[in-house]
Amino acid sequence: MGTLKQADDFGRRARVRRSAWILGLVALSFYVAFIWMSVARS
Amino acid sequence: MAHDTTHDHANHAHGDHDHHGPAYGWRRWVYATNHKDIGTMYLVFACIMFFVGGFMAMIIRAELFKPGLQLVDPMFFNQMTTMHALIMIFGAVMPAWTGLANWMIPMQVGAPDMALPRLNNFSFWILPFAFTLLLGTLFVPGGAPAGGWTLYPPLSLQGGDGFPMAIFAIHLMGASSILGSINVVVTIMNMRAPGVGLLNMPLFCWSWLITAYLLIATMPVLAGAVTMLLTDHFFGTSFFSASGGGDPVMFQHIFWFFGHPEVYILILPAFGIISEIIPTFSRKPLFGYDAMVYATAAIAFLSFIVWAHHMFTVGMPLAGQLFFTLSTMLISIPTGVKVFNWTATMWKGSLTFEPPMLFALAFLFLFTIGGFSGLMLAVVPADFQYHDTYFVVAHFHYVLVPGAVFGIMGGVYYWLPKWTGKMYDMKLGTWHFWLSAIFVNVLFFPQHFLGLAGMPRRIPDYSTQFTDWNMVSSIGGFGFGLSQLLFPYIIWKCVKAGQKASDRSWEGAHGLEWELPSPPPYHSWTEAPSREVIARGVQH
Repeated sequence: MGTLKQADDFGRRARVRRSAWILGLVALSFYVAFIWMSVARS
Repeated sequence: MAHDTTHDHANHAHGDHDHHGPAYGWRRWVYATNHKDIGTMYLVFACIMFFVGGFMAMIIRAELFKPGLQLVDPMFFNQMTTMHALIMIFGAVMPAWTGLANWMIPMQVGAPDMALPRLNNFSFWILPFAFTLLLGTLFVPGGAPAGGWTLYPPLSLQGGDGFPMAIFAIHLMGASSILGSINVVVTIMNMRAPGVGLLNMPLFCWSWLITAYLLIATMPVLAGAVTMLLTDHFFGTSFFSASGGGDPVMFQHIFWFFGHPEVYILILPAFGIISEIIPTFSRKPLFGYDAMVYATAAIAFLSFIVWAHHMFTVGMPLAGQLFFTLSTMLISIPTGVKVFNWTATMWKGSLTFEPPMLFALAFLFLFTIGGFSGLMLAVVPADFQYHDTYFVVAHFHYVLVPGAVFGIMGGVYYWLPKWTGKMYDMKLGTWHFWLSAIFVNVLFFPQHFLGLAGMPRRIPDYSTQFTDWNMVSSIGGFGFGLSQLLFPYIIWKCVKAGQKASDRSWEGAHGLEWELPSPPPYHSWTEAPSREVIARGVQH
């Protein structure tokens, strides 16, 4: 792929991976938080 | 062109995959990692789902053509309303936006592809499985979900074998959306070519960036809600069961905490596309670019604090009613900024009315009607009267059909010459527009009258005084449904026999995508665009 090559050109390969993981964890934490909140309330 | 985009395998060493072309046959699609191929698959999938969901709408309108039960039994009617909504929202509109994002974002920010191409493949290929599962519920004992797309318990928990299938399908759709959104955010934040700044990238990218954040924040909330429905049904929990100490209203709060931002997820990318089309066909730069960005962000923020306006009739303290009324009305301010800015862009412009511009103008008028009826619904005492009537159906269909769907169609007509390298039949496109614009109003405008007169939604039969406007609405529905068949025909005819399109297919078009050839190379910008190209391509 050209994508990661260009990310490399910009020095951004690590940033691409890091930001994807952070966003994934944010999504997961919303999932857990809402269930946890509901457990606490019911 | 200012850059070399030729693909010459001979010049590359073995193992250099930077400039390879598409694979042949089914491998090209199943193993696809190319943003254009995946974008095309998303758009084709959305088009198929649009016609599946549309067919269900035809069944609904045929049953409602006159009072009494004619064609389907009430249970199947309820399955049709529920499935129509789920398919149109998650199967047609959202995948269409992701398809457009896949095609356009790398080209508009000067990147060769999306940042995470394999994740992109995974995001798409989840969808056919999800919708096979969802449509499969029609064929199991108990049938498809029939309690409305909002899945309120305890009604939704009374479903048959289709219930867990629908829950799993919704989980899959959510996962697909989250992964697709991660890809969009990572691409826009990290893959912009040097010189493409956040405040000079096209508004389509901005609107999608904000939409992607909304999706990442809200889809997990829906997933949490439906997971709890599943455990209530199968594992003896009582999250939403009053008999076990739970609270069914809590589901409604959680659902609408997802559901209201979801409305903006469906419409914000349309704002981006309209902000591309209107300047092009007005031959003027967009009026108030920065204000448009901030207005989009403000709408996204406000979408998180208005959810309970869907629940006024459930009951809440006066302070809650006031808060949710006022916060809802606040949304009209940034939305008004957008409408006035689009109008100001056209002011004293050199306007022409090709199909993309026609769809954009219809969007401007008809979405605004949907916005105004939304303001009416935000007023608590009025909402007590309108709630669960056809007025609400008219309101959200004005926002979603001449809003989101016209935005998608405008976008396809705008970029189709770029994607295919061929110009479509403008006369047929214009016919498609006028038939759609006339019939959509015949279809949905009378539903305002029906709602104000008290006709409830989600019923297969009604009192005879509602007959006339229901007949008019159904005729509009059949006309709208039939006229949509023109859309795939126009695209097919364009691909097969369209005239060659120039690189800058519309003379007023600006943006990096128009600096690429038509059709663009397999990987869009294998080398980052030069400063000169960027200076020519960006407007601000």
